[in-house]
Amino acid sequence: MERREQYDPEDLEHLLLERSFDELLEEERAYALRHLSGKAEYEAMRTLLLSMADPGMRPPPMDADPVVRDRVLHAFREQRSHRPSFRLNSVKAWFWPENASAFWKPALAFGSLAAVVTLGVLMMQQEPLGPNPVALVKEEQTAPERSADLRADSAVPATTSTAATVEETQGRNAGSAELAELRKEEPVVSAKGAVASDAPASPTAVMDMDLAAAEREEAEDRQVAPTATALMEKESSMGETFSTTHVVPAEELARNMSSANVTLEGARKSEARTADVKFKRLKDKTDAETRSAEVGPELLALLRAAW
Amino acid sequence: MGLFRTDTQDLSDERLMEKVVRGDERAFAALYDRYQRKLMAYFCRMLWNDREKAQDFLQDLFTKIAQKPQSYDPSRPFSTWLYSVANNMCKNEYRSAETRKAAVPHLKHASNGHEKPDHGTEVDRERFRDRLEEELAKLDPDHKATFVMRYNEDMAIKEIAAVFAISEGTVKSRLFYTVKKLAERLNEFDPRILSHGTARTIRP
Repeated sequence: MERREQYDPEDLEHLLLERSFDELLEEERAYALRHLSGKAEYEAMRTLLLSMADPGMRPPPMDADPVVRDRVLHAFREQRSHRPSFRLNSVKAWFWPENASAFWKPALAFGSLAAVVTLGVLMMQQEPLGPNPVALVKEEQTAPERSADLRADSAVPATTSTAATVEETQGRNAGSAELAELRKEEPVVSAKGAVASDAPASPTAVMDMDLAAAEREEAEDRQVAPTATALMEKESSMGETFSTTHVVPAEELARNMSSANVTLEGARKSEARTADVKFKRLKDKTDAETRSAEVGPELLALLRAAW
Repeated sequence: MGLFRTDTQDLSDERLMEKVVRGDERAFAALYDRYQRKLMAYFCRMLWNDREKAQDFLQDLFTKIAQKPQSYDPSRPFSTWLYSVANNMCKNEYRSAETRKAAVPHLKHASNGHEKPDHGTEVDRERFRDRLEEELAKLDPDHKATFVMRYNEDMAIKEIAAVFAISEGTVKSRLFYTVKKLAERLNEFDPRILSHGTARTIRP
């Protein structure tokens, strides 16, 4: 069977190693002669290559002395002892991997995820979760003023003293439990002395009942708001400076009412107005104290001296 | 312990070098054992058959690896990188030898010191080897290294191209003209006395 050999025409080395010049095919010989001068040169080159390929022409294999091995291993050990610890290398490799280009896609994905989570948390923090405590404090500060205004508004038409306005005023103050109880217990008395309830009674008897109810209310007020009473007492004890108003007791109120021929409702309104004024003054005073405490004790003393 | 130990003999050069970079002494020793003989032959051939010098160069080469294992480029085959380092060392030695030769013109490189056989074909072979060494020493260092790598170290054309960072065509061209030049200079030897023994297969 004919053996067909394929030679790379660019590679003369195979031809030189495989065949002598006489054994070359026509096209192979033509190719060799394109690069070489003739048969002699071809054979000389072939001899050289064959001699290099001959194991007998090679120098015998030689090993390095064992001393060389010991020296290089010693050098390796010495170098390793000067190196930073393995843990530090691991940290460095973690933060700065050698093939960092392979990590850019996961890094981008994780970075985007982290950014989205951070933005979400920030947005949730900005949304109001409940009533603002600062707003609550302001509301608490303005609430007494508003109620005082409401009471003042209700007190203004007291001169008219109609049953409708009384009912309206009572309706505004319906938040007060004491007043609601009073409203249930007491019959509504019109400005002209007409009794709205079914219970028949004379005007003097009604007046006595009203007086007793007013005393009860005052006692309850003292119990409910002892701090306000204490503040009022403190105010009166501080001297004449804050005693521009006068607390009207129930007897004096009854006397005034009988003399002025006003109803209990009018008296109660005037009492509420007085309480509002007192509350405002007390508030102003506490504000002034706060301000003066902020300004300094010297200024507070100066103000007191001026008063 | 033995369960987690891998046999260094089964690992590739590149894997061993990774371990060397991490400070594995066994891997370093395995690499030395794997290459010391080849490199001794290479240095011997490249450095005028001076065995002592070849040994010094081998030690220097592995000391460099021990001191700077990070200089190894993992993208390249280890053998290619190793021979490129060895070749650069030889080139530096050639420059130093040129300087020494200029200073002392009559200085000659010592031979390997082997006793020469005094009979028949062995004499001719020995003479041929000496003449070949002489002619190789006259060649350009790159051409000489290419020739030695190809016909002494049995490296493939591709590997030689990687060592020198040149194309395979350039390697073939270098080899062709080196063989042609050497054949011209060694044509006094009878081809019949040189063609004994079984020729080795040369890798493409």
